[in-house]
Amino acid sequence: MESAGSAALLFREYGGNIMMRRRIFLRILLAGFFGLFAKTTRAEKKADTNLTMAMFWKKVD
Amino acid sequence: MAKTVQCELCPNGCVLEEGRRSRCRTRMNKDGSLYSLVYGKPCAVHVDPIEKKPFFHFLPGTTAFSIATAGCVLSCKFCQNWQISQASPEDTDTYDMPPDKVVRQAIAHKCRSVTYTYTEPTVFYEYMYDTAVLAKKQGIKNTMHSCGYINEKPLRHLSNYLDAADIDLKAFTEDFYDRICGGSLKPVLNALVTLKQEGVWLEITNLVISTLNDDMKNIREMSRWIVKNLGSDVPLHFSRFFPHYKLTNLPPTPLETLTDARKTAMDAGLKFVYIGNIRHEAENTFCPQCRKLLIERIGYVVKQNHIANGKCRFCGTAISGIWG
Repeated sequence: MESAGSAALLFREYGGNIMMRRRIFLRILLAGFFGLFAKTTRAEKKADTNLTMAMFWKKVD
Repeated sequence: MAKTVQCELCPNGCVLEEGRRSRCRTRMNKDGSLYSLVYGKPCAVHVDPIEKKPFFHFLPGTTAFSIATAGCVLSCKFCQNWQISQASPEDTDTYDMPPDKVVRQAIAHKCRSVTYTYTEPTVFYEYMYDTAVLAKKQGIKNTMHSCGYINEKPLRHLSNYLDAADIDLKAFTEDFYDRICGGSLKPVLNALVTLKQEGVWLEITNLVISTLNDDMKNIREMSRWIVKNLGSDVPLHFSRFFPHYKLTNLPPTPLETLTDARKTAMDAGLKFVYIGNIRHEAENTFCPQCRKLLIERIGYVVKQNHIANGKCRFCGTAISGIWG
């Protein structure tokens, strides 16, 4: 009992915290990952709107 | 499918593979098409006296709404605006100012003209052209200060909307253009002739740099070429050099060199020769017939103007320029 009791106690005291930390870490990772995409998309859009087709040029074969 | 393009705007004729930029840094090949990177994005916006350009025979005493973007087709070692002319567009702070906003701002600031200046307007050709079209519709005149390093076809196209041009004729030798500017003289002379043919009011600026382009023999040759090909009425401005950029080892141009250059040009037949970047009586306009003072200037300020309806108020001689 001592050991089982100890294990349950240990889970409550440390295991729960470990799970919580994992969830937080996962959320940060996901936020960072999607944030990276969002930023890239915005920068791409801005660059496109700044470009204006030039005059006086030709294609070279 | 080939995605290489060639820019035909200036004599550099940059051949650009996919993703590459032109020498002027402002044009880029994207997916096999050439794009301007500076349209509507000026890095310099000012309201200046027109005399600062310098234009001395074009609406004296008025102000010009002046804009520039980053970039230049040349790489002059003496450039006075090298911080923006030799920079890439992304390395400068820019305003969001499309052509219609430029014209609105020019009207709001009571400017009679929009000037494309500071760096080299050829590098923002599309922006300049669209702005010039809108400005003309609103009765605002268009001027540019350029090195004249532009091909004939785009220059003629632009000339339909251009009222005046001040062209930097940096020297009269191919060697100077090659060694000091990274360009060549011939296209600049062609541009001057084209502008004259198109009826654009023309003034010429020559920055005199000690030991590099202050040979009076070359100045005489240049002045004779101007008289023969452009006419004796074209104003020529000899501008004083101050150490800048890569030529900090050279001294400011002595006043004596500038006055010698002026005398040489006038002896060659030019009627209106000015000295700039220094306080001197040669900042003023004199009647070529009766020699009386017509426009007195102190720096960029017009103190007196005795030109009425394009004529000398004292003797009635017609004075070339755009006066009203």
